[in-house]
Amino acid sequence: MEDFRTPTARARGLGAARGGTRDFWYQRVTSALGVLLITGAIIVVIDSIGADYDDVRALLSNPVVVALLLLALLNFCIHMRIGMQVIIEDYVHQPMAKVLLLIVNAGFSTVIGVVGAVAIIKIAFSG
Amino acid sequence: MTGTAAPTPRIPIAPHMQVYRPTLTMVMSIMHRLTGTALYAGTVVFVWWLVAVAAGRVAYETFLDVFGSVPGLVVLFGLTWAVLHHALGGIRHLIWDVGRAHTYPWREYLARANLIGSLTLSATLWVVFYPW
Repeated sequence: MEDFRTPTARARGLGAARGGTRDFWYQRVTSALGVLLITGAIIVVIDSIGADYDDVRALLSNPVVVALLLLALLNFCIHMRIGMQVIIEDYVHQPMAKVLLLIVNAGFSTVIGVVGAVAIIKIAFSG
Repeated sequence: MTGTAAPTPRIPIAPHMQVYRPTLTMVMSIMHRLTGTALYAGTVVFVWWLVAVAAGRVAYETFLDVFGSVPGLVVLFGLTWAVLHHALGGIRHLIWDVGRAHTYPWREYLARANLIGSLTLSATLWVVFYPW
């Protein structure tokens, strides 16, 4: 039987991760945003140097800092999930090992993001 | 079809990594990946800091003790350099993504600026902001 699909439709989903170009685009968007967000995060970290515990809490409960850190965390968890996925796809070819590592990678990136977000929100709402 | 497998044709094989003389841009590409991987692990330190502040005074003191020790400071300095190197390397990649600086000599200038920039920035930040 003839295949009526276009060449693009046949190729879609045949990448190493069975996905498309969304990750490619997200990686570039999160890297451009990341330059701004990491600059902000570095300023916050520098601001906390030498401060006592109460001052650090006060700093981290500033709404601007809370928003900045939440955005940075979300941004970099997406960025690092994609980055590590590319590395796994490049070096791990055994299908079962690859799939397991991709799941561990997605899990690690999600857990880091959620745990960090919970800490930020807890500080934000308890002053 | 017969059951005998066709002999493997002697096809030309692409030269692999190790036949190339190492170049600065090649080393920088590897460094970008290595610093990215280090930062992946480094997120644990950042989240530890956040959790320690959220958990309370004692947990925060523990964090300061761990990362105020010599190995802790080495890790923090390493992460400082990794984050700056990866960020500057990311800017370099974004410049390439818009189609600029692929050719000689700009790619070499960018590679050097990346390395020199990340090292001087890390050193400067520590000299200025570390409570000596």
